[in-house]
Amino acid sequence: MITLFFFNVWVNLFSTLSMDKLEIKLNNLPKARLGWRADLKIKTRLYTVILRKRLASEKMRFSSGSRALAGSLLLLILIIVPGYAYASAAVVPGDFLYPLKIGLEKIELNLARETEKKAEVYAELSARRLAEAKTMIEAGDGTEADKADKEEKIKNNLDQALSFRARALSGFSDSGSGATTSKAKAMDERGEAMLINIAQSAGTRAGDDLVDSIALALDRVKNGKSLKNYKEDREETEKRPDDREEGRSAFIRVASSTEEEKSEEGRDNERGFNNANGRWALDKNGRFSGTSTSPLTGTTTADRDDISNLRKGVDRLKKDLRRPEFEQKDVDDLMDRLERKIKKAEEIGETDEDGAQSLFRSAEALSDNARHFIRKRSVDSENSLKKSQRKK
Amino acid sequence: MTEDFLKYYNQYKDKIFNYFWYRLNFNRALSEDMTQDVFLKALDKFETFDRDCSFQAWIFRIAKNHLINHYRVAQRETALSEAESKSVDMEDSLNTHFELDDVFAAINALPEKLREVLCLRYTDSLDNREIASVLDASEGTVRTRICRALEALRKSIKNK
Repeated sequence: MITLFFFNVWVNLFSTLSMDKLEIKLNNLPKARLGWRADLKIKTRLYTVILRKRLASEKMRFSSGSRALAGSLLLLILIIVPGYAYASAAVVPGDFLYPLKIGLEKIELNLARETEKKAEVYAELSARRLAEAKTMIEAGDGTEADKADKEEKIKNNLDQALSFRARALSGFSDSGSGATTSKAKAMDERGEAMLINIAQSAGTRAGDDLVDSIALALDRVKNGKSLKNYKEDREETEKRPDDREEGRSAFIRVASSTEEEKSEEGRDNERGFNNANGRWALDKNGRFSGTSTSPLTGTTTADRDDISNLRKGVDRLKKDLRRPEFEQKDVDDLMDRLERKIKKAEEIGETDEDGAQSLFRSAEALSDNARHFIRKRSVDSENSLKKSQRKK
Repeated sequence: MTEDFLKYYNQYKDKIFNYFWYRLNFNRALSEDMTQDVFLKALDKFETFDRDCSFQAWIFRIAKNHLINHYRVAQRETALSEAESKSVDMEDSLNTHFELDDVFAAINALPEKLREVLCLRYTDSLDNREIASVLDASEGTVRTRICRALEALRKSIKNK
């Protein structure tokens, strides 16, 4: 150990002694040091770059995987959500996507420049409102408050559907193209089928107002009108300040005038009535056909004869519906409603002509479409009924 | 990683500054800027630095390349202000170390290759292995060059 120490001392001493003056001078060359200001400046720059690098790496981490995925998802959502909202009948009033649907429909309407194209959009919108109404009815009632709220929404939808239908028909009429008649016809056929579906889904469980709305809408779509009258019809409906009442009120008003025209043009043949003398019976299509003259058509006061005619018609309807294939509970319920309407119309006929007229119109429409609201009996119950009849 | 780099910076900042100070004719401001550039470059490429190698050799190599680039640019645009500041700085420095003026003069008279190896050895205090790494040459070559540089320096001083 001591030997090693002395060896090291000797080596150092030898190397120093062997180092000439020049090397000593070179080793003693001054060493410059970085000033503190420059040091601070460089450190600041380094920290800035380090920070930027860290942020960039965070960004990179997101951009490589998650950001690409998030971007794709966002893009997908931006395409799918409006598409779903626009196209789906499941998006109904009260849904958070519904305003988006209405907004897109407005854009679609504004983009349609030509009259015929606009009319086609209105026809499509009318069908959409009906489809929404059907979805709402099929969704079930929930609580009593929910039921009332839902029925109000359905009625609004029916009103809007009728309003759009009137505009569509007016547009088809204005465009003057030969193809528009078939388009109008196709729209009404489609509307009628949907309304029948709505009536069947609503049944006799629905409230009086909703049943009336459906029946009146059905009556209007089924009876149809000549295209030349639709423009006037639309102008009349547009004048009305309250959109909610537009469909039903316009219907009552226009229907009255139409009845006049129809009676002049031989309405009986057009509607396929099987009894021109005011007898109520089911026609060959299974639909109930009304009197040749409406109870209050063309008059301003309730006429006793018309009331008695309607009553007779309802009695016949009651007999017609007393068939094994119909649920008699529904028939009874519907008959009660009709009775109540007629009775009420009789009561207010002297004091409130307009009210009485509305009641008669709704009673007429309801009796006309009564079959659609009544459920058919199941096959099992029908078979058991037949068996019991045979035994008798 | 970042902490490592800052540790290295604190360890080698003076050496790199000194490297430029000697090679840029004792221009302090320019040497500071060059030092900053070298460390920023090193930070940018720090991920590629092999931890098994010497950081000193690596940073000196960057400094050397940066200096070469600087010379290239300086050759194209010889700034008058830089020339003025050079002379002032050098004069101050030489006055401070009056006894070394003959050595400085002799070193400046040496060919570039010998001057470089001498500076790395005596002003930057790099050992032969590190000098070899910076100059991309073998240790034997470095040893030979140092011997030749010292010999040339001795001759130059003796002749004066």
